[in-house]
This record gives sequence, C-alpha cells and structure tokens, in this order.
Amino acid sequence: MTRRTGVVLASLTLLLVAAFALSIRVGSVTLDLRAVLTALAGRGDAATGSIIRELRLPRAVAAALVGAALAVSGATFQALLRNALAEPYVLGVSGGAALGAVAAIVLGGLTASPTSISAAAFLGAAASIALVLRVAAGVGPTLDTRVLLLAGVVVGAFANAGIFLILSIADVAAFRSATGWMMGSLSGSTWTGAATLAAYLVPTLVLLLALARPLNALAIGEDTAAYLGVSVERTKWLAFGAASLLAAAAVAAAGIIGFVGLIVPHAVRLAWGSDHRLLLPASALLGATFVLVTDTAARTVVAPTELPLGAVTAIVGVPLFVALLRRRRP
Amino acid sequence: MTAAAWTCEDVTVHYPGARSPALDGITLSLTGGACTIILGPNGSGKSTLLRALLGRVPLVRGTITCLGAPLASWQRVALARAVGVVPQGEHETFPLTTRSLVAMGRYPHLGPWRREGADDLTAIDNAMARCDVTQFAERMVDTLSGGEGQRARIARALAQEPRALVLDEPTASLDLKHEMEVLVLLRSLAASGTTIVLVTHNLSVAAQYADRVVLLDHGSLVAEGPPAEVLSPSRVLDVFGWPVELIRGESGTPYIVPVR
Amino acid sequence: MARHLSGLLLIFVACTSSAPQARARFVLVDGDGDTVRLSAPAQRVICLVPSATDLTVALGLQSRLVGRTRYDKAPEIAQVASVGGTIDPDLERVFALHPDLVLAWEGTKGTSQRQSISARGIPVYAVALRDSAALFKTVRDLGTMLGSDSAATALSTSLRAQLDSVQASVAGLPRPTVLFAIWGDPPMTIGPHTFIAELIQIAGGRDVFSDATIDWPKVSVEEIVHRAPDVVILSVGEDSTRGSEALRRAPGWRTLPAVQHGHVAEVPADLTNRPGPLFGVAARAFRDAIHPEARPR
Repeated sequence: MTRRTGVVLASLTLLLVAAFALSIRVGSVTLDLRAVLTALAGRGDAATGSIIRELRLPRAVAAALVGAALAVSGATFQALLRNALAEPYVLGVSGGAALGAVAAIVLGGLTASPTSISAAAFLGAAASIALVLRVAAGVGPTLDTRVLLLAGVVVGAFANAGIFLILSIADVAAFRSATGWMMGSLSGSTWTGAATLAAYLVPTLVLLLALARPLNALAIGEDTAAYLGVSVERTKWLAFGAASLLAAAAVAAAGIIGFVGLIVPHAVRLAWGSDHRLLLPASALLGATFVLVTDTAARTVVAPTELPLGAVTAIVGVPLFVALLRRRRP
Repeated sequence: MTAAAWTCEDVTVHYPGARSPALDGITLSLTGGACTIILGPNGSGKSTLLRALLGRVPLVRGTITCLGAPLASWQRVALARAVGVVPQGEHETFPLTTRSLVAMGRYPHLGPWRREGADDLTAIDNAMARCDVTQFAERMVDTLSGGEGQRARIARALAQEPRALVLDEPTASLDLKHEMEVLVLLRSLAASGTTIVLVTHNLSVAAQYADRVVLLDHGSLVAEGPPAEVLSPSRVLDVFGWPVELIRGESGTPYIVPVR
Repeated sequence: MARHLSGLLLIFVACTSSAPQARARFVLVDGDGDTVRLSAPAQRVICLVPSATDLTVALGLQSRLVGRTRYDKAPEIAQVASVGGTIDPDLERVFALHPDLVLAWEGTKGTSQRQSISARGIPVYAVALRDSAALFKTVRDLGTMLGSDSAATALSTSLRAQLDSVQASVAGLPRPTVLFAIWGDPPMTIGPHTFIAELIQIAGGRDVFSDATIDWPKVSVEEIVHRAPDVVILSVGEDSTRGSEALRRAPGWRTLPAVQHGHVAEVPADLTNRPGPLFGVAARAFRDAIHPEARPR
C-alpha cells in the first residue's frame, strides 16, 4: 500500500468511526459518550441498555455492512460493464429479490417470518443473476457485456411484472408490508443478520481486492486486459459473481436501497482516482458511512415516524449525484 | 538465421455467420528481431491475423507457435511478459493519469498483492522516457492528443519489457511528425533486438520501414518477403486496385507512389 | 328583457336538473358530503366496502345484496356475486346486476369507475367509517336506504349499549399508556384521529403515540422502548408468525416492561381493520387488555 493510499483509507476509517459514534448516540434518546459506554458495559438504565445493545448497535453495524457491500458491488459492476452508470441492481438483482420477498410476504402466509422473507429475497436475487448469466453465456463462448445488460433489463422487467401480479391479489395488510419491504429499512436488524452480512462481505471484498489490477485493465477493454496478462473470462465470472453476491446479501438484509452503489464509487474516483486497489476499500468505507448517516437521518428527522431508507438515500443521493456530475470536466 | 518469433501453419479463422473465412490457410513465419509489417486492403484479415497471433481468436484449422512454443500452451500472463501489444481504438472508461496507464505494463510481472518495486518503477520511467511522454506523466490520458496518447500506449507496452511488440495501426490517426517519430522509435527498438510486428495500410511506410512485409488479400497470403520484392507495382495494382510506381531513393530505399 | 331572460333561466334550470327530483323519497348526505337520492328503498345493492357489507349482514338485510367484493368471505353472503375489487370493481359485472344502489369507498368520486356508475344514473353512497360517530351515521343511513329503520335502530342501540358498558366498567380507573402496534420492520401504530385511538380511549387507556401527525405512522422500536407503554395491543392476522410469543424474544421488544410483565394482548386484525358491527366486541377486547381487572365476572 502506498503512503497516499494509507492516508486516504485512514481518513475514511476515522470518518466511519465518527458516523458510527453519532448513530449510536442519536435517536429517540440522545446519549453522551459516557452513557453509551455504560450501556455497552451492561450497566445503567435497562431501557437505555436495551436501546443501545439490542437496537442501535446491531442496526449501525448492519447499516455499515450494507453500505460497504453496495458501494463495492457498484464499483465492480462499473468496471466490468465499462459503464459509469452501472450499479448493483443492473443485472436484475433488485427485481428478483423484491419478487422473492413480495411472494414470501403475500403468499407465504404462516411461514412468512422476517428470516424467511430475507432468505426468499436472497434466493430471488440469486435466481435472477443465474438466469441473466445463463442467458449471456448461452449466446457466445465469452460473457458478452451488452448481452448481460440486456438480459438484466429483461429479467428485471419480468420480475416487476411478477411483483405487480402478486400485489394485485394481496390484501391490505400484506400489500402494506410488501411495499414497505421494497422501500428499504434497517429497522429489523439483528446481530445474526449483521454476522451473516459480514460473512458475505469480508471474503468477497478480499477476492475483489485480489482482482483489483485485472479490474483496472478490464475497465479499459477486454483485449487490453488480455494483452496485459489478465485471464479475462475467469476474472469476469469471479467478479460478476462476487459483485452480485454482495448486492443480493445487501438487498436481503435491508430491502432496496438505491444510489449508494452508483454515487459512492463516483465520488471516490473524482477525489482519488480509478485504481481499484484504492477504489474498492475506499468505496467500502465511504459507502458504510453514507448508509450509516442516512439511516440515522431516516429514524430521527421526523421522529417518532421512521422514513423508508430507500427514499432517504434517493433524496440525499440525487442532488449529490447532480453535484458530482457538474464537477466532472466538461 | 534468427529464430522465428511466430510461425503459422495453415491457419484458418472463420467468424460465425460470415460467408467466407477471415483467414484462409495462412502459412508464414515472422522473423525474430525484425520489423515485419502486415499489409492489405480493408477486410483483408490484417487485424484478424494479429488477434490470431495473440491467441484472441479461435482457429478453425491450423497451428501457431510463438517464440518457440505452441501458442495454445502459453499462459496469458507469461505471454504478456514476452509480448507487448498496442491495440487499436482503445478508450478508457474512467479517467486515469498517463503514469497509471503506463504502469499497467508492469501487471504481468506483478501478482495480485505485490506493490511495484524499484525495478518496476525504473521500467515505467524508462518506457515513458523512450516514448517521450514523461512530461505528461500526471496528466489525464483523455486530455492528450491522438499522437501523445498513442505514444503513452506504446510506453505501456514497452514497460512490459517484452521480447516482441505487436501494434495495430499505431499511426492511423497521427500527423506527419508524430507518425515519423513512432516509426523511428520502432526501428530503433527493432535494431536493439525487439521483434516488431505491425499492421498498417500505409504502403509508403511499409516500404521504407519494414524488414519484411506480409501482404494479405481477402484472408489469403499473397506474398511475404522484403518490401521491394513483395510490393511490385503489378502486385499492388492487383491487390489494392490502384496503379503505383516504385521509385528508388538515393540510398536504395523503395518509395511506393500512387499514380494520378 | 330581464323578465324574458329570467324566464329562460328558469326553464334552463328546470330542464337540466335531474328529473326524478320531484319523486325522491330519501335524500341523504353520504360520507363524502354529497347528496344521495333514492325514490324507494334499495332492493338490489352492490356493496364495495367490506365493513358496510358486514353492517348489512348485521342488520339482517343481506337479502338486498346482489354484489360484494372478493374480500367478503362471510358465509351469509357466499351466494352473492363478487364484482371484484373495492376501488376497481368489474364494471361489466356491476351493470349486469342492475343495482339500484352502490355503496362505495369514501374519496373515490374521481375514479373512472365511480363516474361510469353515476353516469348510468345509479345512486352511489360513499361509506365513511372513520370513527364511532361515522359508524352510527352509516348504520342509520343504511337503515334509511334499505327501508328498515327499525333494524338500524336496534343495531345502533345494541352497539351503543356495548360501548357504554365498556366505558362504565373503566370509569374512574387510572389510564395506562397503550401501544397499538402492527408488528413490522419498522412497526406501525395509529395516530390520534383514528377509530382505534378512539377504542383505546373508550376502553380506559391512553394512546402512547397520541402526538403522531399521521394516521398510520411507522415508528422505530427504539421509540417504543423509550416510551415504555404499560400495555401492548398487538394486531395479528390469522396467518402471521408475529404474535406475542415471538415478541417476547424480539430484540428491543423483549425489554419492554409490558412484555416482561405479560401485559401483551393479541387482537385479531379483522376486529381493527375497520369499524363495523364488531366495534363493540373490539372495545371489549381492548378493555380486557387494558383493564383486565374491570372484566365482568
């Protein structure tokens, strides 16, 4: 790691820690650092301790992991598809996950617990990715990028049709629950969920870091990458798989949270360049911070009402994105 | 007799859905340490031949050897350490500095985790100096002119410290000065032992700068040899469809001039 | 000149006003504030509001129903034809049944379905069931429109008696704070202007989210823990794994004093989805949850 990389990552880590601390302290009860530490140690007021240990802490951890997963996934898709507008849901992931979750909520009946809804979302995402890859792989000997994009759009549209069909036969309660899931929320975060997310995120991030140089080359072109010694097909399969897994895990945990995977990598590139050896870890840190801050806002801005997280990331994200676009050279 | 850098034996490439093969039974050998220029009209298979030599297009028939070993047996990484390629029409999706672009030439020598060492940095600096792009090191590649960008890409290939350099239309969008500078550079590289293989449609350039010329037409090998032998006026008229004159310069250098 | 004009105006007004006006026997104001005119008690009623269908059945007048929604599953009306959804019924089926009255949802006057129905001259009554006052008005209006004021009076009296009995049983008792929640991520509760808030009030409790600004706010579990309600009333559907048992294990919820002391009551969602003939039953259920000590032996 160069010195510059070290400095950037250290600064972003500090920023994440600050956001984390803010998120733990703020909420229906605002606590100072001492009260937080007391609660963490298991002493003090029982209600406050419960709020900190059972609600805010796992939620903050989950928010950071979801943000990191989405940002890294977005950066990877942007390199693989050589398209600055790519984002984690580009291969139909959000459609498939939503279809799985909505089906579980509306049709699942007795078996629709939060865990099974999350699992159904993950399965739906995995199924749509598999379908997209299958379609693309069947067209030619190599994984054609344009076919992938088209297949992603088609599978996403198909999934949406399925969602509307299911919603049309849902009763009021199921309808509300299904649309609520789709709008995204970290409200139901548990320690188990956070641990699962971490189990997906950490090895996948390591894998993608190992593919950082091949991704740099692929971002220019497949021929160029091959001429620089990259095993193009193997890298594509591994990277697509890893990025899709991250997107699927994030959606299963939190519903559909947009803009993170699109904006965060852009912001990092604008500030520190496109080398994936810095881009990937920096996106992870900045994405984690972004979702932490927006989730904190979602649950505090109009308290006691909680805003859907997907809406807040969009509201914050759109003007940010426009500002970023303006900063680019004409 | 210097060893052949590449040999092709009955190489045939047929793109799916095409009416005729892109390459039909090509048998030739490219001399090591020489500057070989592949010529031919549009659609003659020049780029396809390059891609075949680099293992990027499947063969329907035939075999290719590269630097003494069958091409199929080469690992991508090993091939990249031995052969530097300057492709045509490259476009960076995201902005990067010239130095970063050239630094990619060291990728075949680095594993996934190793940081660039002193050797690597020296190779990068030398490559940039050789191609006269050092002054652009911190500038973004997309702010460079066509010629400067091309020189940067040649620097990247040189940073690989390859035994052979393969270039696809390296001077296509360059003005006179830059075109000549690139050709002079390539000749000096050839003189120091690097095998140069390049594709161009510029007959005059080929005549002056090539040690050997490979002439293709509609996927078939028409002729192969020194430029003066291959580029006879009758053959050029036949392949390119326009009459030319072959003029000998003072030092015996052949000049191909189209007839008005 | 002016006399001629006013004469013309009179003729114009007379021609454009609806002809049956002179023969209308019942003139009512519905839940949207619009006037509804019927020339005779309705015999062929299509009801698009499930709770109004429940009321019609409770009035014993289900024989007048010729159409219902697909969500109405009571056995008494199983033979009645379904016309589809509540806001988007199948118009072909509606017209094929030749109704003389359609009961619709409040606030749907602008939909194309409503406009088509009105254009055919079929009277439409918008049912408003926001709170107990609206409930009693709807019962009265249904009795008028179906020509059975006595049934309506009987039902009103019975409901009124049930509510009064519940209120009397908790008179003078201290009011514990009550959370009414539909468990979700995040959970949903009710605002002060809903009939559920009214139920809590009648049953001797105090809504812990009485400061909410919308009718069905989603709140964070953290806020619930912070407010520490004395009683939790959990709305459960017939097909839900999210009952009080699971609540006892859920992070955050399980530390609520109400949960730890067993002051959690499950109430079927059907009772609280909308006010209807079971309003009194709902009030009793709420009272039993909030003041179990006030339950009559």
